[in-house]
Amino acid sequence: MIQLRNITRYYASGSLNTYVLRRINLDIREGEFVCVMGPSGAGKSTLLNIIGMLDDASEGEYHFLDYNVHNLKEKQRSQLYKEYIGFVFQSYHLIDELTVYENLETPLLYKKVKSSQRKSMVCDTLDRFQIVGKKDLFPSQLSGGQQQLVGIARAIIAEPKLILADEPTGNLHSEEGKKIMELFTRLNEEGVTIIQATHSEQNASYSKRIIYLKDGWLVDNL
Amino acid sequence: MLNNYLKIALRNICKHKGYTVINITGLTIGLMVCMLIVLWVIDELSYDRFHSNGDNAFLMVSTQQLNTGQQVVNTQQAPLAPTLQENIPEIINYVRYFACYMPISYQNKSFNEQLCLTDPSYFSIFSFPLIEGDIAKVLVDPHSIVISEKIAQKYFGDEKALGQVLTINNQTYLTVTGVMKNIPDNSTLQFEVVVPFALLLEYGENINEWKGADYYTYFLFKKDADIATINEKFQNLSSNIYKQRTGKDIYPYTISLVPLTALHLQGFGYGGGSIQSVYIMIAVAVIILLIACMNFINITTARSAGRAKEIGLRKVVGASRADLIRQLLGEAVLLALGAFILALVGVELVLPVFNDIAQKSLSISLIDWKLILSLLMLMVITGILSGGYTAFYISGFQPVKVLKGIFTSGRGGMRFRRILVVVQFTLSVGITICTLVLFQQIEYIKNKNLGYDKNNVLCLRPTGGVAEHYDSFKEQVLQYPDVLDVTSSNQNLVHINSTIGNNWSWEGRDPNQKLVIHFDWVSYDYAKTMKMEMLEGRFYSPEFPSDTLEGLILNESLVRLAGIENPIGKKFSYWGRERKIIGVVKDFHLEPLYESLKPMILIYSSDRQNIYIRIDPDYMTLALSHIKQVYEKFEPNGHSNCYFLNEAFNQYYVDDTRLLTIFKYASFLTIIVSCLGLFGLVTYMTEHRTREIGIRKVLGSSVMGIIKLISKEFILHVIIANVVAWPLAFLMMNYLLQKFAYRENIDITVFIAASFLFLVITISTVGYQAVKAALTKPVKALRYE
Ligand SMILES: Nc1ncnc2c1ncn2[C@@H]1O[C@H](COP(=O)(O)OP(=O)(O)O)[C@@H](O)[C@H]1O
Ligand SMILES: [Mg+2]
Repeated sequence: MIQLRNITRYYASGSLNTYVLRRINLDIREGEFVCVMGPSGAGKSTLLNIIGMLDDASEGEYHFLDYNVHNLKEKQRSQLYKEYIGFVFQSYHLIDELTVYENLETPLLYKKVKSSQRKSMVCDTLDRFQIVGKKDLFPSQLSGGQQQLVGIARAIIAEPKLILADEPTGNLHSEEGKKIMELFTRLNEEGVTIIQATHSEQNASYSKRIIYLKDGWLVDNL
Repeated sequence: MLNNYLKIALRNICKHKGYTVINITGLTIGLMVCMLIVLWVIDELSYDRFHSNGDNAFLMVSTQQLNTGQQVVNTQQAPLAPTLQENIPEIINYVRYFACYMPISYQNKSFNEQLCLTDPSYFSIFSFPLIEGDIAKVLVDPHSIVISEKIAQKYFGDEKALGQVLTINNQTYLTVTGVMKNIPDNSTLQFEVVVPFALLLEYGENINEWKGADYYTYFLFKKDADIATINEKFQNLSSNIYKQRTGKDIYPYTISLVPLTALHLQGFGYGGGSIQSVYIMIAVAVIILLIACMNFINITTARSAGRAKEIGLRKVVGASRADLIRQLLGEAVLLALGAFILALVGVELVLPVFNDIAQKSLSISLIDWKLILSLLMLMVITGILSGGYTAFYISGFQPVKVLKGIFTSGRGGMRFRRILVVVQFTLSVGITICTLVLFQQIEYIKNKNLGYDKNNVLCLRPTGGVAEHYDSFKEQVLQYPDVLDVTSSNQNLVHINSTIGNNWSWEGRDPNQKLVIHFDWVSYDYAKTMKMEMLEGRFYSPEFPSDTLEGLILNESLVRLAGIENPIGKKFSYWGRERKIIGVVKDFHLEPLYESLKPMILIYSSDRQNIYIRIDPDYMTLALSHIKQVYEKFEPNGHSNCYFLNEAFNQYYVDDTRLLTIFKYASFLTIIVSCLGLFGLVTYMTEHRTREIGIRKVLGSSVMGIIKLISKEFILHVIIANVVAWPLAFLMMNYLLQKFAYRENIDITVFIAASFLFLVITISTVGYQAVKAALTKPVKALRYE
C-alpha cells in the first residue's frame, strides 16, 4: 500500500539545512497496524504528515497504492487524500464553529455524498461511538476524551483505507487512552490500515509492528 | 454544502459581531452616498431632456473678444432669426423670447408676474404640454395668454381658466387660450406665463426693427443636419447682414450653437448647474465607494487570518482548494450583498433629507436597472476581491503549516493592506481638503467687498400704483426713521447685463478700442442707498435737476479703460446722445463673481423695474411693516414681489453652496468610514499581537514603548497619505474654482489643518487600542494563545 523510498525532509535554516527525516525507506501493506515510536523531535509527526499528504518530502519517492504521490498535482493529491485517508491529531483539531454532527458531516460533504445517505452515515457513526447525545454540542463543550472520539469518528466516517493518528492519546488520561486504542484495534480488525505515532509503550503494545525513529533515521530499536 | 457554508458564515458573523458591524456599516454608508450622488447626477443630466426637439433645438450664442476679456451674449436682435431662416434651408423653425415683469390682475387679485413674450412657435419647438388649448393656435391672437396650472389655480382657484380674461399692467386685456401642465423642475425655461410678441405692437414696439439684442433666439434644425456647417453659415450670413447695416467689414462676434439639452450644464440656465460640478460629484461618489470597498477588503482579509485554522482543518478532512475558494468567496459576496440591500433601504430613508439639501425632488425610481446592476456587480467584485484574496492565499498553504499556526499573524497580507490603508487615507484627506477650500471660497464670496453693501436692502418689483407714484411712495416711506434710503433702477444690481456695443464715444477716443459698456437706468440716491463710493464729482440729485438730462455717471473701470483724464466735465456720448460727465463711481461688482469688474455708465431715468429700500437692521420687522402699510395705500389689491438684495445675490451661488453642503456630508462620512476601517484593522492587529506584546512586557518594555510600537506604522501611513493627497486636492479644487474670476487663494493652512485632523483621528483611533493592549497584564496576554 505504502512504499517510501529515500524520503528526506529538511528545513532551510540560514545556509544550512536542518534534516528532520533522513533517507527513510519503508513499506506498509494493507491491513497493518503500525506504530511509529521515538523521542520528542525525532520526526514522527513529520513522517505521518508526509504519508498523509499534509506535507511534502524534500527528496525521495512516495508510492501510495498505484500512484506516485511525489509526482502528483495538488488537485489529484487532494482527491486521493479525500478518498483514502483519515487523520487524527493529538490536539483533536475539530472545527470550533461547527457542532459535533456538522463536524462529522463535513468530510462527507467534500466527498459529495448525497444528503440522505450522509444523514444515515452520520447517525450510524454517532451511534457507534455512543455520542448521539452530544451531536448538537460544540467542541468547546466537550471533554478532551470526547473531542478525540469525535476526531476519530470524523477520520473514519468517510470509510478511509488508511488512518493516520499522531499521538492520539497524548492529551488524554490512561482510561480514555485505553478506550481509543481498543477502538483502533477493532477498526484494524475490520481491515483498516492504521499508522500511529506515540511514545507510550502501552499504546505501542496494541500494534502488530513497531518502527523506531531517532534523529530522523529509521532504526531497529531505541 | 451550501447549508454548511451558510451556517459557518452566520456563526462567524455572530461570533465577531464587532467586525461584521464595522465591515457592513462602512460598505453600506459608502454605497448609500454613492447612490445618492448618482441620483443627483442623473437629475442634473436630465435637464431639458423632456423636449422632444431637445437634440435639434439650439440656442444662438455670440461671443465677443473685448479688451476686458470675453463677453458672452446669449440674446440676439429680433429680425436676425427670420433673416437667417430665409437663407439657411436647414432651419425648420425658430423661436425668440424675452422676459419681463408685469402686474397681472383678475378681479381683486393682483400679482407681479414674470412674462415670457415670444413667437407662436414657442409651443411647437419646446415641449410644454397643454392641458387645455391647441398648441398651434394658442399664441396666434395678439390678445392671448397661456398660463401654467399653478398660475391658473392662483388666479381662478377651481374655476375653469380657459376663456377667462386677465388684465396686464392695468390696461391690456388678455384672454386665456391655453393652460400648460406645471413646468418640470428639470427645465431651464421656467416661464409660467407666456404671451405673444404681437402684444408689443400695442405698446408701439416693433420687433422687426434692428434694435437692441434682447431676444433669446432658438433654432430648430432638420434632423441629421451638420451643426458645424450650419454654424459656419450662421457666421457668414451674420457678417453679411452686419456689413450691410453698418458698412463695417469685421464682424466682432463668434457664433456658437448650444443644444437645448446642454444649456443647464454649460451654465446658460438660471440658478447654476455646471458640468464641473457633475464631474466633481462623480469623482466624490467613486472615491467614497472605493474607500468603502477598500475598507471591506481590508477588514475581511485581516480577519481571514483568524480563520486559518478552520480552513486548514477543512483541507485535512478533504476540502479541495476549489471548495475553500468557493466558501470564502461566497461569504464575502454575501456580506457585500447584505450591505447593498441595507444601502438601498437607507437611500429610501434619507432621500427626503437629501432632497432638501440638494433642492431637488429625486426618487429612487430614477435609478435604472442598468445602474442597479452595475452597483450589484461592483458589490460582487468587492466580495470576490476581499474573499478571493484570502481564499487563494490561505488555501494555497500546506495544511500542516496552517495548523502549526505559522500563518496566524497574517504577515503575508500586510503589505497589501498597508497599501489599501494609505490609498484610503489619501482619498479621505483629499476630500476633506476640498471641502475646506470650497468652504473658504463660499465664505469669501459672501464676505467679499462688492463695492456696495448688499445687506439690509429690500427690493420691490413695483406694480402699477407704486410705479406711477414712486416719488410720493418714497417720501412717505422715508417718514419712518427705520427706513434709511430709497432708490430705484431698471436692472437688478446683482446682475446688470444690459450693454452698449460700439455705440459710444468721447473726445479723444481711440476708434480701435473694443469695449462693451454695461449700463443701467438709475434714479436719485442710488449711490447713497447702495453705499457706493463716489471717486470724483457728484451723483444725480434733486439739487442739480439739469444733471438728469445732461449729465452722466461713469464707473472707475470705464474711465481707466477708455483712458479719460480729468473726466469731470468732459463730454461722453452713447447712442448718439451727448452728455457731460458729472461723476465717477468707484468700481462695484455688477455681475456675479464669475465675471471680472466691467466698465459701466449709470444713466438717470424715471423708468423703474426695481425699488431698493435700505432698512435699519435694528428695526427690521418694524420697517417691513411700515413699508407694507405704505405700499398697500398705493396698491390696495397688489402683491409685491419683494426680497432682500443679499438673497438675490446668494441665488447666483446656490449651485456652489449646494456643492459645499454635499461635500461637507461626503467628507464627514468618508472620515467615518475610514475610521471604522482603521479601527477594525488596528483592533485586529493588536489582538493578534497580544502574545508579542505580553512577551515584550515580560522582557521589560514600558507602556510607552508598546504604544509607540503599535502606533508607529499607522502614523507613517497617514503621513504618506497626506503627502500624496495634497497635490491631488490642489488640482481638483483648481479645476472646480476656475469659473470664479474672484477667488480665495488656495491656502496652505487648509492643507495643514486637514492633515492635522487626520493625524489626530489616527492617533486617537490607534492610541486607544495601543493603550489598551499596553496596559493588559502580560500573564493574561500570554495565556490567550
Ligand atoms: N517548520 C519547521 N521549521 C524548522 N524545523 C521544524 C519545523 N517543523 C518541525 N521542525 C523540526 O523537525 C523536528 C521533528 O519534529 P516532529 O516531526 O514534530 O517530531 P516529533 O513528532 O517526533 O516530536 C523537530 O526537531 C522540529 O524542531
Ligand atoms: Mg509530534
